[in-house]
Amino acid sequence: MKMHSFLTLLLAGITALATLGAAEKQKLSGAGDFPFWTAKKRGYVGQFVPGLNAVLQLTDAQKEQLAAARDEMANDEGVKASRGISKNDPGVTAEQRDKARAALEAATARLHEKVATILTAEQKALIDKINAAYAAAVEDTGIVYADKFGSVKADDAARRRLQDDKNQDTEEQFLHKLDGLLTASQRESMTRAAEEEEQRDAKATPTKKPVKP
Amino acid sequence: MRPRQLARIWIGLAGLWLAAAAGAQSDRPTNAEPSFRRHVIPLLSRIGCSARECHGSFAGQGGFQLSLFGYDFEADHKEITQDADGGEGEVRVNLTDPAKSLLVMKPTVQMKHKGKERIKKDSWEHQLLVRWIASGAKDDSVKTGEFDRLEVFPREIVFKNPGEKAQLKVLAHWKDGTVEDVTQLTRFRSNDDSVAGLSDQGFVECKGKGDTHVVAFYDNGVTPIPVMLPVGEFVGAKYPPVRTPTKVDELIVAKLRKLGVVPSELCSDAEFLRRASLDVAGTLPTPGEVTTFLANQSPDKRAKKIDELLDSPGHAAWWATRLCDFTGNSAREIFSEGVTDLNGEFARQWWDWIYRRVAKNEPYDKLAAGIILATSRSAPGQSYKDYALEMASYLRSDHRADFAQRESMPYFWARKNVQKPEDRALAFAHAFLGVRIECAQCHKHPFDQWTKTDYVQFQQFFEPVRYDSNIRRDDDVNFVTVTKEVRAAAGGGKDMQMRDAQSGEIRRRIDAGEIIPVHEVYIATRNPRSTTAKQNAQAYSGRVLTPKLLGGEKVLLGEYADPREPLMRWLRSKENPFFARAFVNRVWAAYFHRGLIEPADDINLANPPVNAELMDYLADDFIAHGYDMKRLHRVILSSDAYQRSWRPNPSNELDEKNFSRFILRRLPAEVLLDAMTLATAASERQRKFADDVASRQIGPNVAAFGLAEAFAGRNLPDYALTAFGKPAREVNCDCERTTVPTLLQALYTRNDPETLARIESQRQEMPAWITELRAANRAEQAGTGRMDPVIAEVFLRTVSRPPTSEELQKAGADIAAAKDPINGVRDLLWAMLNTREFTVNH
Repeated sequence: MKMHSFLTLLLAGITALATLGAAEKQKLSGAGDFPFWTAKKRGYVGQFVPGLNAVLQLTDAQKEQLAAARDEMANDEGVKASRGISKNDPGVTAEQRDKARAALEAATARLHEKVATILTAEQKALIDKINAAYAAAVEDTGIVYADKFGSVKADDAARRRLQDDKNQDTEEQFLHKLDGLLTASQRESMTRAAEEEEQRDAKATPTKKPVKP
Repeated sequence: MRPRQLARIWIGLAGLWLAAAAGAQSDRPTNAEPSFRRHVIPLLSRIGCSARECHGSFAGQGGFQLSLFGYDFEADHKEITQDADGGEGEVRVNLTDPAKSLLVMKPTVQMKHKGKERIKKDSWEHQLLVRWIASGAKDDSVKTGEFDRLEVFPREIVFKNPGEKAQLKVLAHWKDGTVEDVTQLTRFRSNDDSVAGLSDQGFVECKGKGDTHVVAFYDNGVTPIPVMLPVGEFVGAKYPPVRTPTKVDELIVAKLRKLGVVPSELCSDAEFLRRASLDVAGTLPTPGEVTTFLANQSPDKRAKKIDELLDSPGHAAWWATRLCDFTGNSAREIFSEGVTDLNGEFARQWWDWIYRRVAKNEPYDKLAAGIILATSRSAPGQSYKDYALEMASYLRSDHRADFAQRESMPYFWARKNVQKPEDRALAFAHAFLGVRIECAQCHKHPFDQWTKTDYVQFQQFFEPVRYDSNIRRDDDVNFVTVTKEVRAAAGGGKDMQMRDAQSGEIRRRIDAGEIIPVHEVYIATRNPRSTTAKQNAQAYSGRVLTPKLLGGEKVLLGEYADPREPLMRWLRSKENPFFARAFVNRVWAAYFHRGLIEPADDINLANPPVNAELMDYLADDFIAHGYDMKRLHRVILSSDAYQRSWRPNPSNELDEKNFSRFILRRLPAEVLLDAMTLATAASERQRKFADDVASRQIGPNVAAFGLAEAFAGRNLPDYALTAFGKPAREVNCDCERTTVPTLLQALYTRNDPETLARIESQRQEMPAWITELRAANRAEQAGTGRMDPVIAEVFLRTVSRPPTSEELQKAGADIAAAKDPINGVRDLLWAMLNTREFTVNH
């Protein structure tokens, strides 16, 4: 009986420690998906390519501050209420929707103001450069593809295919420009983070149930 | 008896013994455990379950889908052995009670089956399926191993009388060395039911006179067997002596001898001159040439004329045009870089580039390599700036540089319709292999060996080939920076205005010798970090497979800077079964109106050459002589086969495919329209026009395609050329060029303003012969017999022969009856242009 109680307690202790550790880890890696970046017509967006956030090489303290800032926004009653407004709900008026959107935009702006105080001047400058590089990659690829899109005007499938090719080229053009901006250490951080993300995504992908023979 | 003959007999006897031995072992499948791959799937294919109209269709039938003709063993096994979902409460394969399986009950109609009865209950086919299920319904891929080849006996069937029958015996060879008689599991097809009928069991029945092939299909094997019934009594010793001055004739007559077909006599000198001039040089002979040739008594005058024609500008022009057909030179399909009509100039450069090489008689493999391996930049180290300036130099108005002098011609890859790798694979296969692999994009080719996997593996060679701009290569000056400069210089404005302004600015830059934005062909190297690349590859290529040559080896592309290099090396290898044959066959088809393989661009195992020995001889000779195009033309043209009369004899009047006589055919669109111009042109303009190929219809004539998309009636393809079947070169098929007669064609030659203008010219640049006659006041000389030379000239100009006395008399009477004799001559000329003798080559 004693032994049983001890084992139960030990197991509970290990589980609690593991949970705490995971929470801490979650907190520190919470910056991995933070939308530091901006794109034309899309506002704040997530990283343009896997591992990009890692080029900022945030300190643990910065990561904690970022997580706290996000929590603060997420727990804000006004934000919660605004998120609760469904655009498909026929009972919601246009005025209510506009109000909710404005509240969320204001909260996002506050969050990014706060983030700006967390980041260093070098990190902010790097974000600006990377945003500019991404915008240039989009523009350059658009110029290269202009003729091709003109040639598939009436063919939706061909157009979608071309858009996928263009996205691929935009990404490669951006990666090419990024190579000119990053230090070796930043590149290494990005590569490592991208690999981790890939592994995490692979684990998260549900495996298909095997077909019954 | 020669050793070779002895060897042939020995091999034949050995083959028959092997066939008999195999047959004795397993005339019917034995009680041994049936194999899924060797027996079950071939059986389902033979009885039609996996045919296109049944379970082999894209959606399957009744919730049951098989791969077309059973090419995908794994998928089929999965489909057969999984639970049926038709709500019938049954399973396709019932391991506990095999006879109750749907796979057995349905084809024997023990259950309702929309496809009716496919096999009899208790037949060996029924038993085979039951036994396979009873033994566990396993896929036996490891045990079965890989299929190697198919062998069919007899190798040729020559019937003596209609109604006779012959049994085919089919042996499958596996790579592990096993051989099995699979006659009962083989699908058969006759290429001509009026000659050879077939039963499912491989009984060939002679239906009528003539020759064809029956084809056996099993697994990935496709084997054609020639079948014939002599059409005449002149077989064996009865066959009359026929001279065979060339190897080509020897091989053609050998086949004709088997068929009992006696070839026609040689054509007349006048017929030969007209035929060869039109075929070789796309040009009607002038009256002077006809009279000189007819007066020449030299025994080698035909050979000399062939050489003269092969050296003429007309030959280079006409064959540049034919090669543009095969390679798809369509101005409408080439990217124009946003500049009005620039695509037309690119198309013109394409033609010029080929023209120069045909005129120089550059080897065909070198010509093909210049297209296949083409890069836009002249040298590996050339900067974008230098490249763009070079391109501008080929386009400027004054002192234009000669594009044809470039080493390579990149526009084959610069077309809108070949931007996807799969489209590039199709275009390449059509242009350089004469192979149609479109079917294999979705399923196994029904009449050939190509599977979807073969297609995807072949497609991999074309994945990195790009036509746009490699902007990562040049950071300072590249397509994007120059485009931005052009846009800035052109200013703003709405879409159309802006486009026109940019087009104008690029034209200005071309003439000023400044850099222009122009795309390029290059080999793209993908960034290994690209995540989108992986997704796209999976979405559009399916499984990423190791590239494999069609019917050849797998290739590790990492060993090559350019994936097209191993492709070109494969084309040049002696073992390549397509490259030389495709060109030889197209040249043959141009001269005989029918390929040795017909259609000429459809080389496939089930569509064998009508004379395999001749095909082998010509292809081997072409390769052995360094892909010498002129030699190939000469070998064909010098044969009696090419120079035979179109007039049939009783034995060959029904023969249209064994080259026993010349087959009449309408002139190709460009040749016909040029012939109309030549026949009606003033005498002093005739020779000049014939040699001025750049201005002729057989020349580049890129405007004929319409340079842009048709918009409000602008830029439409040339009416007359289209009506007479000039190809738009927009699809991968030689069939785009047609010679089918239509009412529009008849209307054009009778009363189209262009035709009437040609006869009595209203054009400054092309004075008409009738105008010349009027100016010379020949009417005053009219009188009995005095118009005879003029009438003779009308005949020489149009049908390239002097008139007969009867024709002369009738024409003279008509002209004499006319108020104005020159009008009478004009009407005679019009009438001759509308004769069948003028519009066909004979």
